[in-house]
Amino acid sequence: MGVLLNTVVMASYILVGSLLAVGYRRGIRADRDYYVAGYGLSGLLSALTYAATTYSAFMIVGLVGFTYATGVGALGFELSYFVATLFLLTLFAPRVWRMARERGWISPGEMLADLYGSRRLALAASLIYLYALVPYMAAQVKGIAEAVKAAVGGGMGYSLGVAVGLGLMAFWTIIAGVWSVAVTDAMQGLWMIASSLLLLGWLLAHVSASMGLEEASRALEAKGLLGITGFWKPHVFLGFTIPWVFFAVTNPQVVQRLYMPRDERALKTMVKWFAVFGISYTVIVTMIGLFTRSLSELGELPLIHEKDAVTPTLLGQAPSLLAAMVFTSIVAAAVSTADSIALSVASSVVRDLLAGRPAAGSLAVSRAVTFALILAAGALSYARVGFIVALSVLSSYILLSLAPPTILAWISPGRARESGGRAVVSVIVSAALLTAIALAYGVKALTATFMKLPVSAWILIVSTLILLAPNPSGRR
Amino acid sequence: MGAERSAGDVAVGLLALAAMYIPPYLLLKNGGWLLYAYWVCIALCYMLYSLRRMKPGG
Repeated sequence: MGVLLNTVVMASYILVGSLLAVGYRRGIRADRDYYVAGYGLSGLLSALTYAATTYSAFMIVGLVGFTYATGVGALGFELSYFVATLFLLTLFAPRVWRMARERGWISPGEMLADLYGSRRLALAASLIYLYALVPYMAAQVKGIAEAVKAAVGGGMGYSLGVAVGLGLMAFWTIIAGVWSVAVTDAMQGLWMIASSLLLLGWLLAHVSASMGLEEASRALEAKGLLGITGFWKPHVFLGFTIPWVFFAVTNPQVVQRLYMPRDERALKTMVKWFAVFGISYTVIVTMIGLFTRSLSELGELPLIHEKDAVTPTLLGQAPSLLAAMVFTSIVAAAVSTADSIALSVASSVVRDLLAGRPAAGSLAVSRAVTFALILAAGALSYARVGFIVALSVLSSYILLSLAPPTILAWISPGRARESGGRAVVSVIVSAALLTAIALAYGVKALTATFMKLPVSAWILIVSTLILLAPNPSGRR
Repeated sequence: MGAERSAGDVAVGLLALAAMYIPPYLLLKNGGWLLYAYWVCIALCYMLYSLRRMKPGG
């Protein structure tokens, strides 16, 4: 019954998404239409695609497990990202939106090249996007495969999940580019938040009926999970949050979404509904993690040692239809993030790496590059490396190298114009250092410290100093 | 759009970020749901501020 129901719900999701993707096709005549919807997205679509792209399978799998294991500090970690993103959007979104249409930016690399007057900077950014984000896409495909495997009860589930994930990503990106991605993102975003809310409702009712909410809270407090646990030492909190605080300026898939709203009102609507979605989803997901832990503390569930196993274990206790909806929401969260990244990285390959070549303006090439990136992510997902938190956070960790030059260019385009050479050096040096640390330490790179500060903070300081260094020769 | 950055926006944003980091480690280490409510409250207050700044003519 469970497997059949999971299959029916998943098939319904695929059918509705595909009908929306086909039905929402718009005239795709050029790269501008394919990658940034001709700067014509409505406010609500912009908001839901921003939210669904940002919030990946990490939330309902990774953050639930993280909260379960480390307590309420995980909420502070996620809300620090949220506050920082709103801060950056409030300061810069209107300016970036306006400049994008005035100057015709399509890829984030073009933005950097234009503001710094340096094509080399766009090339460096494109290469960093490629090697930081293809593994991130692979982590999303892995999340889809694990969810499908759990939903169909093992067997060939993992391979089936990879096939489903790649098939959906390829179909929904290639059919109408960001138009179909945005409309399917909207459907998937609503599915994600609705199913997580239903799961929390069921969980609270279950906890109330079995032990009472007060008893559950007491169990959490007794374990110190409602406070700062031993895990969340100050340098760990700082180390985990630094890559996420800069997410809105370093990740091309969200930077590119600032170009897309059709007018100023749509841009404001995007920020407003993204904010409502973000805070609601964060609260819901962390509550699920905490109350699931209370079930373990009071013996209703076994103590779960693997973070990514918390949500599947909880779903094993939930009503079948609810479990099917949440399993499908994991797939939705992963697909909505991965297909947006595929399009964004493809835009960077086509517009920055292939710039000036005859093939660069061809829609067929844009589609082929998108497809190739999706296949590469699929191949990597078979390697089954690490868990989702590690891969997601390390991608943003490496992308940190783009934070200082992007922020400088948004604050002062005039100063950026004089700093092209230094920006290239800053990006290459910091990306090389961050990558070396990520390779050497794995997920522990986040918490590696030097003089009590996370190494990532030092690298940000060094790259900023390189960027802002006076130029004695007066040349760029 | 009247919501371009200003010194006030920068100051309020930095204050909100500092509030996410510092008080939990100094004052709110464990007290029932207080820390949870504190973090949500700071995020909500800053959200309301930033949305007000994004309003037409804001």
